[in-house]
Amino acid sequence: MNPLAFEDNAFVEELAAKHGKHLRRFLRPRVHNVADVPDLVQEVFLRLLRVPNHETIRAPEAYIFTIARHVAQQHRLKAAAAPATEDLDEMLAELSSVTDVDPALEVDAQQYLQELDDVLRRLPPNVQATFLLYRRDGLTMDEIGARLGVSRHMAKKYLVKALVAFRKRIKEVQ
Amino acid sequence: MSHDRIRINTQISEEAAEWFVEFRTGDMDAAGRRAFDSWVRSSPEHLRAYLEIAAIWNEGGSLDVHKELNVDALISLA
Repeated sequence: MNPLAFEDNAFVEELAAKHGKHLRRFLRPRVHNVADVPDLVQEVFLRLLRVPNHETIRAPEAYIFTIARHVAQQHRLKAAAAPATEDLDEMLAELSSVTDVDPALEVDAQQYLQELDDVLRRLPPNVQATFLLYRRDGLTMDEIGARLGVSRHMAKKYLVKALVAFRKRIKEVQ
Repeated sequence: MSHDRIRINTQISEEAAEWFVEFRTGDMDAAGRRAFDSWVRSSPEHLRAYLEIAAIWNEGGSLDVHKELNVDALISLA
């Protein structure tokens, strides 16, 4: 068990939410083909997810753009060496429809929260209780399992159910 | 949207949420991390789902901050 593991991803998730748009704007003039931008944005986040020690990064904003510059540079070299195949073109076309989103920004922030609140109140009692105890009250999964009289494993499943329900609604209103 | 498409979306949401919860609860080991890496890379839909779940999680921190929802009452219903 590595307690830093969740911090790792939390760090990347925060950057994605905060800087997704900036990153696309940053990359656009640095590639020949703007259709490549979503692909590169994706690559930047994938690389960030792989960095083992995020706590050593002092200036996340500078860091993310350093990686982006590097990714763009490598991309230009690769593009010069080998022309894009049809497969790659297809993939990029798909990517452009997929990664060009800032979930929190697409729906008005207030409405977004309203939708989540509405979903929360309709969740099955045990799922709702698990989300509240974990997210709002900061209990551990073991503590929640004990409160609900279920296994830690089951408590985690409840939390997964809550997140799936939230995303389903957000997809519906987008 | 076809039923197939809904089913696939739900499955990806579930996988993304499972990974997310594994990380949050500190239950991820090196092998799990490698598996996550290959999952997140295997489809752009996976990365998208994961980041959307993460955004929902961040926003979810503002839910019911005034503690209107009573957990004890919920547990007695469960």
